[in-house]
Amino acid sequence: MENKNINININNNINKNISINSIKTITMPLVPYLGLMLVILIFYITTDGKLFSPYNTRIVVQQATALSIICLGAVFVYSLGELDVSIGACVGICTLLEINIINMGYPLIVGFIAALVLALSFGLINGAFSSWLGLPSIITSLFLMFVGGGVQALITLKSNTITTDYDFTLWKETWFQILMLVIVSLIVAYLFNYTRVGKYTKSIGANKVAASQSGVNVFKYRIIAFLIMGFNVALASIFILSRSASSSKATGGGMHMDVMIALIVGGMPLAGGMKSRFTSALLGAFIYVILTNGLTLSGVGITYVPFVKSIIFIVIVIITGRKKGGILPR
Amino acid sequence: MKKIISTLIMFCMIFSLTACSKSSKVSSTGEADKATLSDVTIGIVGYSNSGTMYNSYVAFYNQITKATGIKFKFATGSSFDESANVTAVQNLISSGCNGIIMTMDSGMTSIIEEAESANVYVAGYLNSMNQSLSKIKDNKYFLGTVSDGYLDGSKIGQKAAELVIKDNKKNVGVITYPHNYFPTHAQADKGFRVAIDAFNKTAAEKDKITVYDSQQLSFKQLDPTYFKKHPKLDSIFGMALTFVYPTMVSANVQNVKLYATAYDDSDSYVKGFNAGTIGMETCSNVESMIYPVALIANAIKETQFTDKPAVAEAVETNTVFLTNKDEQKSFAAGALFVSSDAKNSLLSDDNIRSLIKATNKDATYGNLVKTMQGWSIEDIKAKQK
Repeated sequence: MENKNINININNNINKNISINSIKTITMPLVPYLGLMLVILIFYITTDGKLFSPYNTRIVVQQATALSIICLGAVFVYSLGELDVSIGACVGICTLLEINIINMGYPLIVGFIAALVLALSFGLINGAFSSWLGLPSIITSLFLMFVGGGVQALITLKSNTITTDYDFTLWKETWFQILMLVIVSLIVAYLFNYTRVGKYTKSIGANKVAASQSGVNVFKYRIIAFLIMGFNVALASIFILSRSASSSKATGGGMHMDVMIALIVGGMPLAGGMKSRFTSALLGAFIYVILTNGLTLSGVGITYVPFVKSIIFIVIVIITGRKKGGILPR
Repeated sequence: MKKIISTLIMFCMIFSLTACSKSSKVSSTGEADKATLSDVTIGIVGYSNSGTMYNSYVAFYNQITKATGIKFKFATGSSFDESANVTAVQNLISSGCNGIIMTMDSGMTSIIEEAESANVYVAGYLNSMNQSLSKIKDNKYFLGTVSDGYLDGSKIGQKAAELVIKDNKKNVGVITYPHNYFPTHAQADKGFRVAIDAFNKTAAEKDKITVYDSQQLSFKQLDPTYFKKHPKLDSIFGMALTFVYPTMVSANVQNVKLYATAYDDSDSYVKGFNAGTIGMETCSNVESMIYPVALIANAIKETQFTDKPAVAEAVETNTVFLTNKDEQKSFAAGALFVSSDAKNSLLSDDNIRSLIKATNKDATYGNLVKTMQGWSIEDIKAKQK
């Protein structure tokens, strides 16, 4: 009888755990969406509706476009369980390259191609060297961050800021930004969800050894992930350049942290793996931008803005964080 | 459970902070019939959101709000990150600002385009906008800018040279910020050398002054090896007070006198003045912020000065020189910059209203500039009597 009672209790506990896990499995992916809706609702109330004014909508889209595009590329890298802190330096040098080429009289496409070559080189170095040397990519990207920062400083040695008179009107149009965002999102969605690139990067992030022994060319797909991010960085650099029509040694500074925060807030697991979603990029980027925008519109004193953002960030990490060592797949 | 509690805490935090934030806005507390500019909200993009300088701005803006009803909002910008400045301006405009004061010359072209699209006026403070002025001065939404002290840095160099000559110094080092970022430092350096060269032409051989090559600090502390490289050094013309003096203190250099630009009221610097280690500090008046405020308020109310130049310009304000411990003491006790007390303001509420055409139809641009350029340490001393 006692054994029967114990068995019943064990079965009840297992059923209870399975129910809780099922609920978590269903609801956890919804948390970032709920987060975005919550942020929008709260700031709609606290800003007396200014959040959705035509001007504010335009600037939110403008501020979020470049960040979203970079985050969409970074999704591949983060799903590997890797980090890249050279994003900011890469953006900075890309904008400097583009502005100098434009100022020499060449069309923007030439500048973009040069920036693309540079950004892909960053990706190749990050992906290849970290794999060859068996180092976390954060180490190789740190090296590139310092090199990139130094190059930025050297290029801007003689003048603080390099400006251009190039007409970026098209790149600042809201419809164009949304169009580019939609196109990039669709391409990333396809690559991430329906091709080997996405599936293999996630599986490498889940368990590199298992992926390798299953026949996945880990070296190749790590490089592809970083190359995809490089492409997105080059594309985003044009949007960043178009906002101010100038570039300096500080352009892109801190962008790697913005990307990390946006992805985490959007629900991307830092350890990568099968639970990675490309939607984290869009949700996180918009949450991040609306947070800063909404706090300013709400009249929160600038002294408090970093504090409030850090509290919100910590709470979201606690809500969406998973215990390490859980059952595969992650 | 932990996550539910976290969510609840988040709700409480957001609601309480954003609710409290409404009361943190600067609001008019002045007499209703004198606060005629309550529909003017000016956003200021500054260097920092704390410290002596920030506190003094807030004190002066509170005084302006009391006198005129103009409201102010703050955002932090960057000298080097243009995108950050554009973002700050966009957020301020979106929050209801119809005027923007910029304290840094970075991203100005895009900022003026943004302001134009939003029908918002922009003016500058603490900045001569020498990088962008030629491109934006013809735009009707850019109204002008006032620099941090003299526009022509050579006047500061000349003053420093006078003091070096007066104090009978013989071997002078020159330390500045990077000249490409701070052209006024390059002007001051040149002005200093020209003045010393002029003195040397008529001085006896034993009285001639040697000026060492300039050292440009990239916003890092002066390396103590500087003093070993120049063993005969007896003075420094340092345009980076807070990057030079701490090194002198930590290296225990006592036989070198520092003639610096900028001002710091902390104990170490006061002691330096008293001990004679610091021979000069400079500061511009916080009250010169009235220049961009007046221009913006007038533009919004469509009552601009009739004698304002058709094209926006950069004007200078007076630089206050502190050359002895008495002046340093008077400044510390009486200047709005240090005390952040509106009672120390060189402008009364009536003065403020009289300088803005929207509140005084007889106000002129010429008088505004003259007032701003006329302040000196004597005015600060007079406030204390």
